[in-house]
Amino acid sequence: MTKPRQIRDSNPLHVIARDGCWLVLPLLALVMLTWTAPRMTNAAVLVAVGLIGALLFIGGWPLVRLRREVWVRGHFRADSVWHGRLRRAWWARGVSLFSSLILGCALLTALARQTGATPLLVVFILNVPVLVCLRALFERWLWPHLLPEVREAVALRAAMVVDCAGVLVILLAGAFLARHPDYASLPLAEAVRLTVSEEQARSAALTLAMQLAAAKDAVVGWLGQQFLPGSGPVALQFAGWVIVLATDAVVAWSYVRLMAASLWHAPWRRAARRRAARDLEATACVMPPT
Amino acid sequence: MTRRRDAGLLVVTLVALCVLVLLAQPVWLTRVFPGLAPRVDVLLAERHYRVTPEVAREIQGVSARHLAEGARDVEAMLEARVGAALDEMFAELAGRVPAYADWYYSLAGEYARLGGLLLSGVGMNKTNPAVAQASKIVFGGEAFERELVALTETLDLEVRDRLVAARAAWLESVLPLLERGRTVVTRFDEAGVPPEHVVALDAFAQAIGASDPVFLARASVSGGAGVSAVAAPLVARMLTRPMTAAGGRAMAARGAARGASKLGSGAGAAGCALGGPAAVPCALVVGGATWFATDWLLLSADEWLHREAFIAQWHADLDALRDELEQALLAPYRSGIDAWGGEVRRTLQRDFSPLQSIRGG
Repeated sequence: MTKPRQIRDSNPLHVIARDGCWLVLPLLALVMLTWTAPRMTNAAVLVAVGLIGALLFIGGWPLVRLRREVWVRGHFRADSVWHGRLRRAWWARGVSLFSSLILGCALLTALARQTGATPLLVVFILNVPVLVCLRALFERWLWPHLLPEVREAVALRAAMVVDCAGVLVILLAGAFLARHPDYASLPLAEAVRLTVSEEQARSAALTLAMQLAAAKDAVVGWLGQQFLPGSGPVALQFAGWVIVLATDAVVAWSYVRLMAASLWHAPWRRAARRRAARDLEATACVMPPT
Repeated sequence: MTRRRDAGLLVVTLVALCVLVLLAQPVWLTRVFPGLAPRVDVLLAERHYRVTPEVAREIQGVSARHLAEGARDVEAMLEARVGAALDEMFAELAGRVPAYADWYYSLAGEYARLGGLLLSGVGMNKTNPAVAQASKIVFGGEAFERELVALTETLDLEVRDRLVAARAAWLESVLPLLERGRTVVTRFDEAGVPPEHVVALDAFAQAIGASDPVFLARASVSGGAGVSAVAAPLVARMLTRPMTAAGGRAMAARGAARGASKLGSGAGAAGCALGGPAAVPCALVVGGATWFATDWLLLSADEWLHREAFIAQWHADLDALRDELEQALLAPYRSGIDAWGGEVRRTLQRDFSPLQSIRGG
């Protein structure tokens, strides 16, 4: 009974179609969030950030926990008191939850702004086939080489990293090719004031977050226009691009983590993990101890 | 069968993604269902209009174009007016140069300059008589400055008129666009529209018309003090530059010739020795007459040799002064227009910033 299931699960077309279809749900949520974000109240914004953060946490924590377990198993004896302490790692859960909330806030702010030349949401939607294909590809490549306990997590993490790099490249290319407001004749404070005044939302908290993001854009744009290529200090131009890279990376990583979390908790994947755990236990009972 | 179902699922997924892309770009939706398009509330002169974002963006573009055209128009007008006025004024000045040359090559002019040199040598006179006479004959005393004051006052009025006309032209272009929308209510707070979609154009209307007097105060050089500050240093520099060079050289040459003529006047006075008691007055008269006659002859020779070059040099200096004066008069206006344009552009950007929050642009 298990053999046909294994063959069906390894069929790339099936995996890609099923995962892609499943990811339409979080994408639809992102579209709705983008439409409604400027009209949300403070409470609604807090709930939205909490929901995104929670999804990021419950999707990301199993990967973190698995990685910790592998590390603890590899370094500590099973009867050591630290074995149990480090496996539980409540503080690591706290850090993961906090970073998830920060990423959720960054994602909501980026979606609410949508000011760049690159339509962020369209990039996110068109990237879904790429993500599921990458995941299927890595699963296929890594399957013969990895232990059963970590196969799925490692394949997913590899797909996340490569996909995030791709999204980041697209966002950076968009930022490079975009037409920016003319800040050349303005002092920095005026440029920041003008850009910040364009950000408005019903929620004061979201407005603040959008204005902070706009101030960052103004600083980067101002730096780029005050020191034209070839004429200004290279360090300042470099600093401007580092800021763009860092903020785009946060947005891209939060999106990829959200999609990965959705994939990790897809019903058929949970069922497959349960089956795999049962199979492993059965194998452990049958196999003589080494 | 499974493979066919997978292919079907894949197609459904792709269709769903396409639908999501359309949903993510509201511009498509609003084209299909215009009723879904957000509205922008525009406030202008106590009136409240409700228009589509496209019309609002059109108004923004029209406003930016009128601003640029207004600035270009004012600058072109200033250049034309200042150029024409200075041409006329300097043609008149050039016509007075021969009169100044007459004085310069006269005995009165010669001895006035000599006297000025002697007095300034002993520290009793600080005014160069040649400069004072040039200022009086060529520049008409204070008349030149008065004409410049009148010119800048006329320019200020013209600039104000042009800006008022620019504002009127802007309103003429914008009002039909606004009328495409329906006037909702007179008082904005009754409309119940979210504040993020409100464009208040009154600040821009005020700014493009430059009804704020700060602009003209910053741009203009009108008023006696302003014109003096601009014109006086240029005129003084022009008057002192050629006179010290050409006039001093000619005077030194004539001084050397005058030394040689002392022999001639001494010889003439020696002839009076035969006159007995009348010998002293005779010697004074004959010596003086010989002295003046020599100076007159030398001046006439100098005039015959150098008058044309003197007048040509004056004309060249007046041309240079005209160009310098034109730039000096236009510079404050240009910087004022630049500052005004920047201010109005920022106002426009600020006024239309609510459009940024409307997606699908």
